[in-house]
Amino acid sequence: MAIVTSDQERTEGESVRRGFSLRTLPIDPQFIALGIAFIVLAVLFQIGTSGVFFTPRNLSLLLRQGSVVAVLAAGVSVLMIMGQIDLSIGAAVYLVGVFVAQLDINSDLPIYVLVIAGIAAGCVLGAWQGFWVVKLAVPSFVVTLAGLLMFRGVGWLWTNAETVAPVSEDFIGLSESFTPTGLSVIALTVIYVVSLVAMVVSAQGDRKYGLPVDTVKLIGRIAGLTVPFVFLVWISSGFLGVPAAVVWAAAIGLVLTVVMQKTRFGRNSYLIGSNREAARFSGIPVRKLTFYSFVLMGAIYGVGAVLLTARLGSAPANMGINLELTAIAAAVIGGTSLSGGKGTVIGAIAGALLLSTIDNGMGLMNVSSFAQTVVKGAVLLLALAVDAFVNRRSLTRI
Amino acid sequence: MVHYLTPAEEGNRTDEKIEQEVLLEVSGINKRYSGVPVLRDVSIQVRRGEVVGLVGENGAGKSTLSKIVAGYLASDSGTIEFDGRRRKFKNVREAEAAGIVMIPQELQTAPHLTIAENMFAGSLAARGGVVNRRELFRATIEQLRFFNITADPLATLSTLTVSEQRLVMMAARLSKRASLVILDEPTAALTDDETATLFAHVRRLREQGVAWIHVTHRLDELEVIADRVVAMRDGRVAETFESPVGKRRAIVRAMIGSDVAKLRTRHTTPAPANEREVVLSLSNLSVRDPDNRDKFRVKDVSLQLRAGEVLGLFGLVGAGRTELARAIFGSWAGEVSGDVRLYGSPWRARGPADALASGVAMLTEDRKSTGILQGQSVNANISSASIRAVSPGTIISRAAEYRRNQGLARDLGVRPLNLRAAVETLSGGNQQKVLLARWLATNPRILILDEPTIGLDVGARLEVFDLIRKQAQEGRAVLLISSDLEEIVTQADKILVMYKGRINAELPPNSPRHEVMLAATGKDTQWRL
Ligand SMILES: Nc1ncnc2c1ncn2[C@@H]1O[C@H](COP(=O)(O)OP(=O)(O)OP(=O)(O)O)[C@@H](O)[C@H]1O
Ligand SMILES: [Mg+2]
Repeated sequence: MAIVTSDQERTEGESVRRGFSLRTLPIDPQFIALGIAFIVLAVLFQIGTSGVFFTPRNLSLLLRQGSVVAVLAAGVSVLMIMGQIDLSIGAAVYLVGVFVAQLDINSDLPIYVLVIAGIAAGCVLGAWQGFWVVKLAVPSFVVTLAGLLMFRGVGWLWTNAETVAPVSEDFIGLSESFTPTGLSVIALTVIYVVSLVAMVVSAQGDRKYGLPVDTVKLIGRIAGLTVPFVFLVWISSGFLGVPAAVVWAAAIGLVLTVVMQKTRFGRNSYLIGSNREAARFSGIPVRKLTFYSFVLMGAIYGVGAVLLTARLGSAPANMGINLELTAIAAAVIGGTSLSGGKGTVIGAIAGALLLSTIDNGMGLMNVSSFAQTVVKGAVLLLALAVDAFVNRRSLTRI
Repeated sequence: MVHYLTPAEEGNRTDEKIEQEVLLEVSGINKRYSGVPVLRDVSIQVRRGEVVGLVGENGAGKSTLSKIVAGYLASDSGTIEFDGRRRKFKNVREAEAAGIVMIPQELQTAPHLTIAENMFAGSLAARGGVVNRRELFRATIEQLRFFNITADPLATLSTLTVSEQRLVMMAARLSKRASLVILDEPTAALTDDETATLFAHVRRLREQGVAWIHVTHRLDELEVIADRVVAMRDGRVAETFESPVGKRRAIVRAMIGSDVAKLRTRHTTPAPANEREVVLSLSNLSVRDPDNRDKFRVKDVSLQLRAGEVLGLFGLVGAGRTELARAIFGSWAGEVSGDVRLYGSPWRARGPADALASGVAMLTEDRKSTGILQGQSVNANISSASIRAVSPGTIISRAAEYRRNQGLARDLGVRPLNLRAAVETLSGGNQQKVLLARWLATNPRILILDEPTIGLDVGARLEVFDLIRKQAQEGRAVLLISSDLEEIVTQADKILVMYKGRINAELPPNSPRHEVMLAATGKDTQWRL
């Protein structure tokens, strides 16, 4: 008989887990573990590739490689927080990819229309799955497993399983272009300063209203903002500027983080994920919000499909295979719970970057892609083990 | 009427005890959570065939201590000697094998499995790995008989009401072979009859040498059942009382550390005048079983709920009170028929969201499954039903939310008063306060309270009574459902007694308890006003 507790608190944005002797730490131990993993891998790869890994050029590539997974992991983390799952991601991205590639090849529509069309098509797929989950109460595991088969099947029927190619240069630019170096540095600096000011002002406001402010946490957050900023400036000034794919991923990450941490929708998502019945008894429109989150996921299919098609320059028949597993793994590595109610968008994105780092570094070291898969699986296990250890639930002893 | 023992009498009893063999010796237990001490140097003794009452305010550490003894939790330091041997149980199974069985405050159930499977989870009668269904069936029927529950062992657990589920799970655990049984607030939602049944069982086994630790907030029970009382305060053993008879005041003083001035029994103000506005009226409301259309859980109930009144609804387990409340709130899965009027116009809640939008709030009795949002902060738990009230826009206004919730939590005495703590790290009673805060935050016109004082300590209970009264005085209508006779009799302005899905009697406030009880057992209906 288990007394299930998760020694965790989550208010106003941060997810702080206090566990074992790490309990008193002000920063999420899992983030610390992720940080350590990044550093260890970077050192290993730097040595293993005799200095190629840690260059602006390679890191820029790494970010571009990781962007698609980051976007999809961010999306699926929202569904997972609500207690749902999506196994159809890879197939949905493929189907939407075929759609936008066809549109691009067979029409003269401007690029932004193609993007909107892709997102709209993704929303239709998301709504279709949401309908089955909400109206007919089929578990999302089953609905999206069906989606996994159907969406790819439809794509194959449509194209005879032939690659849709080539997409236009403009389209490829959606992912592979760069903002000019000078502009990048200026824009990054502006964004950094604005976010920093916003953070401090918001903390001051909280204090004025009598909300307790955790200074250590604030410092942690500022550090969390500064480190990526410094890296991005270094990378973009050292190699061509900020890749477009990274802009997309950052924008999605920012929007979803605000949605999940600041809005009623986000709050209710966490509550639904942690106890569906109790959420319903609280008058939260559980079914409506679940449906919305599937549509939201649909929009993410659209973005992911555009980015991946642009990156590949085409929509091949095996596009996006296993992408759902990578995205879910990234979310889990970043602290999202498979049983709902717990996780962050930022964590999922960090998880995606970690996986991308492994891909990239091992690729440079000429490790076979088979071995890479093994290593990624091991990292997933390790992440869960770290989580289990820091949250060692002294209460749950069966 | 309280009987004071003479010192001589007391002395005798004590001498007798000392001769008895010590079964459990807990010494110097310490336990911290996140560096905060929860148990400090706790030592207790339990002798064979003895019933030890364990009391203390909400959060005093009773459940934590019990869990440590029963192997659910490890202590940071200290020793446990059981049956003459130094023990360190690694888990519940080891403790059970040694003869310690615990019935936790929050029972873990699998609502979608059958009653039989739930009752015997972990000890399923099996032969060569295959569950012996016939044996399971027989054992289940036998255990169900214990609390006079007639239910199909193969029905899913969720078809039972929450209190029935509790009884069923308790019966199952009580059937295990044990020399020490720990009951953590077993009587919290039981009526006196069910409590009496339980106590009869306790006495029977006590004769055979089984020892009991009985955690409770109902101090009157102590005189009935306990041989000795251990009072805890702030994680320490404050005082031990050999024989609790007549020591209620002293026990309370030991528990709360101050005097007991506020512990008068309070009586309600006279019933409000009948010209008060009728807020909710039900005529011939019937509620059918969701799985069996022919079975009525509630049949032809008519009642009127007026603004500014506390309407008490009493009944035994299975009388249909919760079903009635759920039907009003729109959260009953089965068919509901009859006429419901809200402020005179026909109304039917299509679901909790709908009910809340019409100003009807309901505190549910099953804290674990429909109340607490595990893993979320106290803050989010309080706001869950009323976030719109503090944040009309899309973005949550944290400051407004925090100020309101902080105020509510303080009024209700939630401890620790830390809105960022995860709700499940609070003690049972404090979780209950959080849920009360949730529903008060919705500022309802009709407040349905299903067992509101479950698990609350004496002081908190009185505070909640005050709070209920205040709600009524502010013009809200309160439907108070309780299995606690004292609560119903003293707090309600009008008492409705349900028996087998019907309203069997309507009684004035402060009615004699035996009359209420008689009506609840279906004896007579002639008291109808
Ligand atoms: N997992 C946990 N993490 C942090 N603190 C905890 C945890 N579990 C319990 N506590 C704290 O330990 C203290 C004692 O809790 P416990 O449940 O033992 O109280 P109790 O005496 O059983 O109270 P009640 O009468 O309300 O059930 C409380 O202050 C509670 O907040
Ligand atoms: Mg307790």
